[in-house]
Amino acid sequence: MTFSLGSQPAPPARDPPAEPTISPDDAGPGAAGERLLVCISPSPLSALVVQATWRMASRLRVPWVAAYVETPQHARLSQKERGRLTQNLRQAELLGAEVVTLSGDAVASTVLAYACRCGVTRIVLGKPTHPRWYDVLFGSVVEDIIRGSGDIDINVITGEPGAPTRPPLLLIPSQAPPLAYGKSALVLAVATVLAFFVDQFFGLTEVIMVYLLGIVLVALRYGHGPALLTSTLSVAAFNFLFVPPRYTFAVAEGRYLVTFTGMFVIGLVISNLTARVRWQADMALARERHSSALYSLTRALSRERDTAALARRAALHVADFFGCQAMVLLPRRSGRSVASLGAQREAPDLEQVSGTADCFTLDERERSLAEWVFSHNDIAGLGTGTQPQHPSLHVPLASADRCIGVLALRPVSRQQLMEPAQRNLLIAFCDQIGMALLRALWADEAQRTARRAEREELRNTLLSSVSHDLRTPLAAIAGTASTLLQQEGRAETRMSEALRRELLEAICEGAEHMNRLVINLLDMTRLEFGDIQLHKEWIPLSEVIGSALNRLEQRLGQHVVAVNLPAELPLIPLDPVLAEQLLHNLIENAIKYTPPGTLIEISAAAAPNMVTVAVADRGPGIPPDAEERVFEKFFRGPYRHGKGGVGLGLTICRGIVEAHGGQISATSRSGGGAVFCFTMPIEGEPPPMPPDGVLAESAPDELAPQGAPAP
Amino acid sequence: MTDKRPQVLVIEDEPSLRRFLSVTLRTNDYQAVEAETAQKGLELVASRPPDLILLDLGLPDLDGIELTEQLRQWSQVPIIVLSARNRETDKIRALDAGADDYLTKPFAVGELLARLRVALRHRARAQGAAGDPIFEVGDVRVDLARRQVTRGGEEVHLTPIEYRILTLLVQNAGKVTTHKHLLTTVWGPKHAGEVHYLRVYMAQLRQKLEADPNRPHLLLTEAGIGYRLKSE
Repeated sequence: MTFSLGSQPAPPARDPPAEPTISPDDAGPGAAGERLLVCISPSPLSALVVQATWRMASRLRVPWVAAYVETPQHARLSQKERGRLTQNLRQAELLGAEVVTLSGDAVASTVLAYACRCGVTRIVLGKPTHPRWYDVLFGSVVEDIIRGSGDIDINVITGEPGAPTRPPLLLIPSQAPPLAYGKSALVLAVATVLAFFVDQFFGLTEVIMVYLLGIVLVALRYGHGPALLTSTLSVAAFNFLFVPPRYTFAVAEGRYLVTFTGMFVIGLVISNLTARVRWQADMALARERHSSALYSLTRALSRERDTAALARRAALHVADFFGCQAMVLLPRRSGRSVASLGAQREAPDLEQVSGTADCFTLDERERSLAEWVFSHNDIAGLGTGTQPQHPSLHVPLASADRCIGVLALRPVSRQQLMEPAQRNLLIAFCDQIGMALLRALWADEAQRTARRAEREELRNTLLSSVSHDLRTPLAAIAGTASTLLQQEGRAETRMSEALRRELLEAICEGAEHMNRLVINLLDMTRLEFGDIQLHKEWIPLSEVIGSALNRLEQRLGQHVVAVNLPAELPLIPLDPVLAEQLLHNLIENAIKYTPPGTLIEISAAAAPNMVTVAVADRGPGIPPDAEERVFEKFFRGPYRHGKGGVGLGLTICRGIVEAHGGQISATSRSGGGAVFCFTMPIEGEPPPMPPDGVLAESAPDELAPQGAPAP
Repeated sequence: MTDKRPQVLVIEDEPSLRRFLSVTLRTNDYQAVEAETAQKGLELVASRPPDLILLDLGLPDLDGIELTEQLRQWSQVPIIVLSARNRETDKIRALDAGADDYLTKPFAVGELLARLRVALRHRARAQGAAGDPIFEVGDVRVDLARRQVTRGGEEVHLTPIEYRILTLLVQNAGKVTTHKHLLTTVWGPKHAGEVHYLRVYMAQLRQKLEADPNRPHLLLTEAGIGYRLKSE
């Protein structure tokens, strides 16, 4: 390992592993419970250590983790080192390691804390290549890990000599903007003015305090770079302005040199400490931002049901969070099932389902790269092992080894997604999206299957029902007609006039029956396919009942109908044709299931924003437990009088009522019989009526005397 | 020798229905002329003007509604359209285009003959035959000259709008009168969409004229289309 830190690493805070955190599956078939961890750094040596760990892990047949610790030093890594780090991590991933990025102040304590938490039994480290004095001066990560390892085994592997070592990080690199330096100079100026006042009344010690105060302020506010500058300048200003002889840099007494050194060192320490605190706070903030981003993504995705909507939301979320353009590519849904999706290896024909607001389109190269990513289930593009010079980054959206789609990202700058932490978060995002997509795809698939099965069943029932119910009257019509035709012209066997009439009536009856069946079948099909468009108009219920009864005039026969409507029934918004059909079917149902001569009662009651209509009969009532089933397709009650239908009339009723936003129910009546009740919501109010007497033309149509005033 | 029987032109592409209509017409004292396409129908109307046309709306070569529009540019011959159920919009469009009435397939012979009689009666009136100022159906009697409505011999008091609606229905007795026609005539074109005006007044009229307003036998509803005053 080539990591060292300026500060003395704190003894690793370790919690004893309270419970075995490793599941039997993770342990693999090898040494039970074993788990290796290798520390990765940007050093080329690290690749060798990774390979060694991989060999060890595969020999032991145990799972292994490759960990990178992001410390404050991370910001100082050069482009080349970053590339190497990504490469090392990628290599570990390819070799089957679980790659984690940890962030912490010190490498040793962070690694040990993680190892304890995750049940790591052995840590593999690279042997340091720097001289011994270096360790003595700056501390050694290897030493620290070994010392804090407890019951974890440590393997230290020899790396190749001559690997470049980085001088220890005494100072955390500064990223303060130039303006901060200017502002810190201002703080210094203010401190100096204050120092003049303090000097008037107190002594030099207090002056130093004023300057130190300024340094702390700058360190807190602008980071340690400006603080360092302020420290230097403070010493200079103190020397020049206050230390006798004044207004020269010359120093009269030697003890002031100690004061200067002390002042400078204190400034240095303060600035470094403050910077570290700031860095830790930033890290915590970043982590918190990451986890909350992941959480909000998961939440957002869990709300979406539809695959396309889900993909769109995911792309928006990614684009929003990473500040880049994002797009999700899914295989075209040409009726392909999920099962064949992942198995697809040749040209997947990806379809862009979602883009960000400033939607970008993939060019030919990007598209082919996306297809490569899809078929290989591997990340590619910008800064990865495959086509790293590509302007966009393509990440597979996979779940359970199956690639479901590709997330294409086009960062604004090339650096944007190079950070391991960012990369890791992106991968975590993609895992979530992949899982959500898989869930949505399976849900789609399940729904499709269910719908197909339902359709299949409906078709079968419909076919058997139709073939039986239509053939019966058809057979009667055809048979009777041919009998009549045969008898025609045969004077000797000529049938009586009465018989002829009877046969002719049978034909008419059969045709009428068939007509009803066809009407019901057509209505049902229209309702099934959601093909109904409501044309709601404000209608008095009496009109609907009247026209339904009128249509049933012939069929009512000996049935007695009593219509009982309250006088103040409001107008109801109904589709006139469908509403008539609804009443027609309900009354027809009553006729069908009740003996002639019995009473059919139609009544209504108004409630706020609703009207309830009931059609009651004195038939055999609803069979027990069939209150719901009577509305099902092809359900036919057991006590029919005469020819029944296909069992669609009430299903159509339910369809019509529900299309209007109402509810329908069937119950048995006390005293025998059935009641079919439906409600119709009343939303809004009909436009006001113009007063009677206001006519299109002012025609003197007055009828004298004026009897009934308009309501 | 000229045939005095009314001549009916049947424009229908389905052979069995055409044959049924022809046979029915001939056995009921009508002359029947058949046309299986709209084109042939148009030619026949021009060459042998019929007294009435039975027109199927679903013709293969030309939409029955368009045919009605074309015919109405030069002929006032009554047109009764034949249409399937659930085609209310088609029926309304045909009636708006100038058709006189409609029949929903399948229909009974009695219904067909009643429509034919009504249509021919209206045609006779349009051609100048003096209209009877008194209309009577059931126990209701409307005296258009004296503006008097009685039911069972007793005078019924109607509001101006009710009376206006009733006279329109009487003028079209036996035929369907569309909502639009009633609304534009009574309230003006601006109110052509306010069908509920009409519905409320029709309910009032039924209260005054029908024996059982909830089971009307005179003022019939043609759901989604209009009203029909029974005439026989």
